[in-house]
Amino acid sequence: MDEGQGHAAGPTVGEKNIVGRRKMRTEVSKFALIQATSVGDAIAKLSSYGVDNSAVISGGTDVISRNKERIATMMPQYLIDISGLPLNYITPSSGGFKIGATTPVIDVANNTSVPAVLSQAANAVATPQIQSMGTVAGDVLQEVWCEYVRNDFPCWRNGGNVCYGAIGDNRYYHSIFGGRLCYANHAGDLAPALTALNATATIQSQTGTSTVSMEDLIPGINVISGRVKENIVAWNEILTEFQIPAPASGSVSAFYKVRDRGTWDFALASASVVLNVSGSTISSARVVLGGVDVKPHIATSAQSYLAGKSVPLSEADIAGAAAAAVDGAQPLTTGTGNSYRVTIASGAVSKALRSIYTPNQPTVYAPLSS
Amino acid sequence: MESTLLSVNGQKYNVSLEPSESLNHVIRERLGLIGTKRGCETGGCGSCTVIVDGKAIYSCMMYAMQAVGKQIITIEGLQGNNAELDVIQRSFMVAGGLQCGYCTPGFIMSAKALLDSNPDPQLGEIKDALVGNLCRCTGYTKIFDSILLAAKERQKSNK
Ligand SMILES: Cc1cc2nc3c(=O)[nH]c(=O)nc-3n(C[C@H](O)[C@H](O)[C@H](O)COP(=O)(O)OP(=O)(O)OC[C@H]3O[C@@H](n4cnc5c(N)ncnc54)[C@H](O)[C@@H]3O)c2cc1C
Ligand code: SF4
Repeated sequence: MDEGQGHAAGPTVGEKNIVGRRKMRTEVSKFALIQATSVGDAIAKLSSYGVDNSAVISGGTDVISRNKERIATMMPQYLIDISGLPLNYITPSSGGFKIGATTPVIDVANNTSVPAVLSQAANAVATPQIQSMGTVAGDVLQEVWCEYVRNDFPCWRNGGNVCYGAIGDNRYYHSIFGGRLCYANHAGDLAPALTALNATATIQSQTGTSTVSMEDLIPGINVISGRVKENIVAWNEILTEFQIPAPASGSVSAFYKVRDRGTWDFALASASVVLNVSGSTISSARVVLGGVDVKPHIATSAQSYLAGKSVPLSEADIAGAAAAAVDGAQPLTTGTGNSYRVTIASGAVSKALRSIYTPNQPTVYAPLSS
Repeated sequence: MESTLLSVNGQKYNVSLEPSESLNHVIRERLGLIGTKRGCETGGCGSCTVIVDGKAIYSCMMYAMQAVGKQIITIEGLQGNNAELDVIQRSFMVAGGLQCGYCTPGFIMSAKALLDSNPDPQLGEIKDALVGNLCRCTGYTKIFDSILLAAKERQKSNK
């Protein structure tokens, strides 16, 4: 079968390399919850317990969901709690911002100084309760919400060697831009906004710290420490901080998310746009789609289409950018298929672009709200 | 199992916590405070909403051990010294903000978190603050009315 069927073993990944730790579904989830006293302490504990047995817990909303579903390979014996570490801050820095890893999403949503695209994206995460519990790094690093892995199907992500999503129900949680091995969307709303802002992330490991771009943080499906995942953060590494560079002068931004209900649901597609404007001309643009690819999807064609256009954008230019944004889409045709979301992604881009020059536009598609 | 102190409604409880116990489980099954409901267990309905350090959260989605050292308020914490109902509870009764009542404690806790930080909310702000609570009976309108009424009553009593 070809890659599109989701069965391909992939060019570099053999079954043997994947961590395979399937347990009985009925096994009770017993574990220890240990407070880390510092980032170094967390890394040391994770390293000593090992990839099979330990994981980071921060706000816990994703970790608890997975523990409750008893996902065979995702029930470590030791949860290392970093939520008490002093990583909870939003600090202005050289014209931009530094945001600590454990900052609650709601603090970003309520912050009126960070770029609009970021606070709007935070505001569109789930509900106020989840925003109060969930952290910024947790949102960026959350597991995918493909209903197969979340229900403990033995797929690539869960110690197996098949992708059910690519051949089954892929209406909501799967890529419309192709993939390999695992076709599940990166689901978080913050990552595309951070990507549009050219944010960077600092990761601390046993050997030191490194700062990487969002593109390098979430490069797409890979095997990291034996796990099939889309980000590069290994089990014994801690993401400590995001840095948002100073915006170019004259830069404007917006976020728009389409979801089934006006609340709670993950994005069927979202658009994060940043326009750098000099005079009345767009000098450069960032257009990043969320919820439609295994990583935040940088819509390069739309970015080059927008460069040189004048603002306020004409409806024709908005339509052109929206069409260009889904260039190269490869919706799944096996199983239920998900091509309808190509249209939705395109629509999200036009909504986001239009909202920049039309005040008081909603930032989510809310079918019933007045 | 370790014995720890959990602060609920201003009272300290000495409890032995299993790491896997959710805050919801501990509040209901250990402390017997069954006003907080147990609904979907997946952060998808809001009936388990309590306030932790001033913010409304889902008690089903937090391990109790993660709430140690924090101030937890449940629906029971709203009543006065002589068990009289809180103004938000009374407003829900007066304005008819409930039918079957299962979601009500969750709505009241979300409403309290809102009114504590924003005493005079607009209707839109009330709607935004309540999007994390589901009600299948009322159609929401009377819940919004109840909270508008509670805001008025609270302002009166603060004067
Ligand atoms: C009902 C529901 C609806 C949701 N809807 C949305 C939505 O609409 N939009 C959206 O974006 N999200 C949504 N989410 C996801 C939610 O936003 C995330 O679960 C939350 O932000 C994760 O943050 P946390 O701190 O709770 O993460 P945790 O559960 O603590 O951790 C999540 C993952 O990240 C890892 N991790 C966390 N922090 C670090 C760190 N600093 N360093 C290294 N690894 C780390 C953990 O090991 C774990 O694998 C929803 C979740 C639920 C339950
Ligand atoms: S899309 Fe990913 S998570 Fe879903 S079944 Fe396929 S491999 Fe598993």
